[in-house]
Amino acid sequence: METAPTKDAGFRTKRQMEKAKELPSASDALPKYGGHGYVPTAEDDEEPFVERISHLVLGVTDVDRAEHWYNDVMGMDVLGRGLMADTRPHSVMRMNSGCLLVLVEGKDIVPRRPGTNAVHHAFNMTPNQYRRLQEKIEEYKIDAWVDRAQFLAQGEYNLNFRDPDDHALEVCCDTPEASELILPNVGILDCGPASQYNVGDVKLLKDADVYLIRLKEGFLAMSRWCTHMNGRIIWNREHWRFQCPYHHATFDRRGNHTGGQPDLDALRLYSVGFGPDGHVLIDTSQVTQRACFEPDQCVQPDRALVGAGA
Amino acid sequence: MANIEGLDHTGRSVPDVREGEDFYVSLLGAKHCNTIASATEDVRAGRGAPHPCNVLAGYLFVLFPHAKHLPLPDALKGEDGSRIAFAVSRQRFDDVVERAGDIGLSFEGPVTHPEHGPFGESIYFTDPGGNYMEICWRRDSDQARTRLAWEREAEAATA
Ligand code: FES
Repeated sequence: METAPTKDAGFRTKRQMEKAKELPSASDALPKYGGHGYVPTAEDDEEPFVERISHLVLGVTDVDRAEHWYNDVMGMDVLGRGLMADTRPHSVMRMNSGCLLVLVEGKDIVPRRPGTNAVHHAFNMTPNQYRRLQEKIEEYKIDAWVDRAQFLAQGEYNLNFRDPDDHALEVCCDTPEASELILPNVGILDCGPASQYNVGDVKLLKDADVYLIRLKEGFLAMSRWCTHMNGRIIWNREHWRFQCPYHHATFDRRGNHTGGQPDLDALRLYSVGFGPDGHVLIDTSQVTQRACFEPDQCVQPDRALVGAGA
Repeated sequence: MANIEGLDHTGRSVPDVREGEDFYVSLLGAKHCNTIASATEDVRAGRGAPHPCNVLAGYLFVLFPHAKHLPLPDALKGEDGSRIAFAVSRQRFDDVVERAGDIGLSFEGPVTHPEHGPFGESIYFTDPGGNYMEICWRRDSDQARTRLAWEREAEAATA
């Protein structure tokens, strides 16, 4: 049984190793996006020089061994030998999307040139394929870790490991959980007197993953879950932006998407009301999706109530 | 049916990320999508640097700076350690080869592949980091299936 080299496993933290053991729920759902959650736009199809990714060619020292490994561990189908214009022994392997992998045998394989450790090749899998891979990783005693251990959104799974020739591989799996609506369900949140909030204030209600914002148009209660893939956004006061550390989406104080990933919906809303004592109340039982900010999404407290809470 | 869907993205190393990005964006028509400054543990721990992400034909490339200058390989065709290939349709291939010449891309080929295999013809070149690349047309292009969920949704919406 082959074991992948462990050359730089020493760099990995315990958290990175632990994270690599996490399993998604069983599902055959296809990956929603490729490329670390890259959201495609119509622009991508305008006058393409090349049309789609076709295949990856890897140099290997033993084509039989590599073919067996990519078939058994990575789950690729063997298409055949000698199917390319190359006189060296090679095997062509197939993935479900039609992407191919070609393993070409050579004597001295240098998987990454010196000082180019970041070079890697990433594949995508459904949750069930990913679960199967985990079993193989265990069976083959492969050292696996997660490079992005702290930067995975909810429902996003990633593994990093090496093949028997030391090629750096990554497997990505974004599960349906990454696009599910997450409700804190902590009932009605009492956020204290409306009068304590100034226009421009942003308050995080951590346990509920809700941001309460006071704008000149009124109060907004926004879900902390990014509309891209359920990453937890962070308010960056210096930049006046919400930022998502997972794939770099940014949102303004009204919740409108401002960058990082193209074409995302605005942050989701909870309904805001006011108690008789002038307190701001957020109902966390229901969340509303919206394309962008509209002034009537804000709730202005009654002046008399604000007075009562002051 | 395989137990894997497809290629997701590629991390490449170039001596100068601006020059690398220029090659992918200006020459090959990729789109800059973002620059990641913190999204790996290595970068957080000071073992990495901000790296730009570019999308070419819907495929993500991440460009990392080389730790040291490396001479370019002396061949345009190679796979030691890896080569990444993009497909165009059979009809467009000759135009693409001509355009590659027009934009000043040094390439090797076209090379014709065996008829019983999935590949038609290919040209080979390198990026400014000496990473091997290929453009081909595929004899089995009818078998390439749409597998990502967003593609399925887009297809259903236009059906
Ligand atoms: S989860 Fe992807 S950018 Fe927020």
